Amino acid sequence: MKNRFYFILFCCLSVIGVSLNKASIIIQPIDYPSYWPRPIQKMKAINEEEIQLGRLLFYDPILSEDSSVSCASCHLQQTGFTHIDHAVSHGIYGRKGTRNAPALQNLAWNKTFHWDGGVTSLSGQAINPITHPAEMNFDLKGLILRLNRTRKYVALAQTSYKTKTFTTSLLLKALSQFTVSLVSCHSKYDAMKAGKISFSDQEEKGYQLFQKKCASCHTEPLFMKNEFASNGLQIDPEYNDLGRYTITHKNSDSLKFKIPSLRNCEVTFPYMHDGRFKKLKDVINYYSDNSTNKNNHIDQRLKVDLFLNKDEKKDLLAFLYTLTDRTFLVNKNYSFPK
Amino acid sequence: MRILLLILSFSSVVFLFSQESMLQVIPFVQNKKVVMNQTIPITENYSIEIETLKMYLSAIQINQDPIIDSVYLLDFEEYHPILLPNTKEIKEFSFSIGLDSIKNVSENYDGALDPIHGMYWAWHTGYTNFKLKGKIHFSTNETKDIELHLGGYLAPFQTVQNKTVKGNLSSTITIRLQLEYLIEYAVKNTYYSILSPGKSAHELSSLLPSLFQLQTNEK
Repeated sequence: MKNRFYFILFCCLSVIGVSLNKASIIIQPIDYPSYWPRPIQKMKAINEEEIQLGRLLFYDPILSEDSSVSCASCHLQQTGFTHIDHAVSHGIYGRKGTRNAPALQNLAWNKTFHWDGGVTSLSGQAINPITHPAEMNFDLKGLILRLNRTRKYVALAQTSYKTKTFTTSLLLKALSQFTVSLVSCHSKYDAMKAGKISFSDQEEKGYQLFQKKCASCHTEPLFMKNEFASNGLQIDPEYNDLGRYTITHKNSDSLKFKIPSLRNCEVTFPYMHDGRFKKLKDVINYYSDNSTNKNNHIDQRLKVDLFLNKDEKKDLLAFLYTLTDRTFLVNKNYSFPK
Repeated sequence: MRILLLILSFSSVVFLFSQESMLQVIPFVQNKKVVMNQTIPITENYSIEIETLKMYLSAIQINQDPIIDSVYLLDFEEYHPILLPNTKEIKEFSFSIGLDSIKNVSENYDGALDPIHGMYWAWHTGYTNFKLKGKIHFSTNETKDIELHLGGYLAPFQTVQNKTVKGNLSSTITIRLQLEYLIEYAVKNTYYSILSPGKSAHELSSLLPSLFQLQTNEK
């Protein structure tokens, strides 16, 4: 009887202890389908409060010099966390960047970030838009000072990290915790893979075409590849962007760009590194019909016949639409914090 | 009472410093100590005005014993000597100029590695190992900006360098940083703006160890 009493007391005290130490409750950061590969980025255990702090920061224009632009300005949830009204990203004072803002999804499966792959860690990535003159144009020193003067963030730093000051490390960690939590895995394609539904005839035909013509670069199930390739696009003289070459300085990397994921491609227009194609059918037409006007660095995989007739193009498009994950695009856990 | 407190504070500082060895790095240009934002002649044809001078020293070893996690950022706008564990006899002292590839991608953004210090290359994950920014004033009245951001950890353009000094070193090791070697080389080869990793940064970084010279009045 006495032993039982002590056992119950022990259990009660444990529960109270865990409740008091709420910030240290560890949750699994990412839930993903069993047929997906293991994530590449370091998967540190995180807690919900860190994600929520990152979410607040992601949506807060406080990160930009003039407090006018937030991460969400270029990464809108409803469009797969990219923006759709410009070919290239826009920053404070109406400044224009040189590249199309990438969609933020399934980032843990990326080996590198940015179109040129210059960034190798998700946690360090956020420094780029924050400090870039054409984006948020804020120096980190000024930002950390500002955050430490903002009562809300100082209080959250205390709750989430048990620290009285907001540091660069904390800022970057919180932002990366939120962005790594953006997992899109509930598309029609995923339901088909899980055996819950079947594709229509047209989608199935498109899927077959996709596997034959596109999958060598946009590999399932993430529909991407951690590689750089030239898709043959002629260089835009306005940007003179040499892609991966700017990072490695190897001639063989000239005009190569990261192969992006096609998940949610229905809503992540415009397309290509410089946003030159506004519609998905423009992209399909480019690969199918334009066999001559391509740069000399074009990838071997694109030197084969990729021609599609009118019906095949429609079929392929129907399949690409199955990669849209509506639940991801409206998931309240990822939306503007109210 | 105030005097007593003053004496106590002074004694504790003296006590603290007497417990540790120290590394001092003093930048020179042609035997003149560098004072930031002041013009110093290099040759009869030109002089330099240094606005920013920062660098990482890491992987410090005293008598081949590594000091764990030793990463120091020297910023000569607000320079402080590096305090080292007290060592009675220092026969050999070695360090890296810059950061190795592991530190470049460590995702540790605290202390000396905090990107707030302006040494982090955001668009190209990693750190600048050595940063010099200033103006070259030519005798022809022409002025050119010079900005050298030396860094990069990927093959074949790795830039971290190692330096070892040997001898009967005192507990305060004073290193002269003879910057004229670097500046003369940069001017001769018109390397006025190196802002990314690559061949030029690699080439200039290979000069860095020769810039670090042990102060000759060591015992």
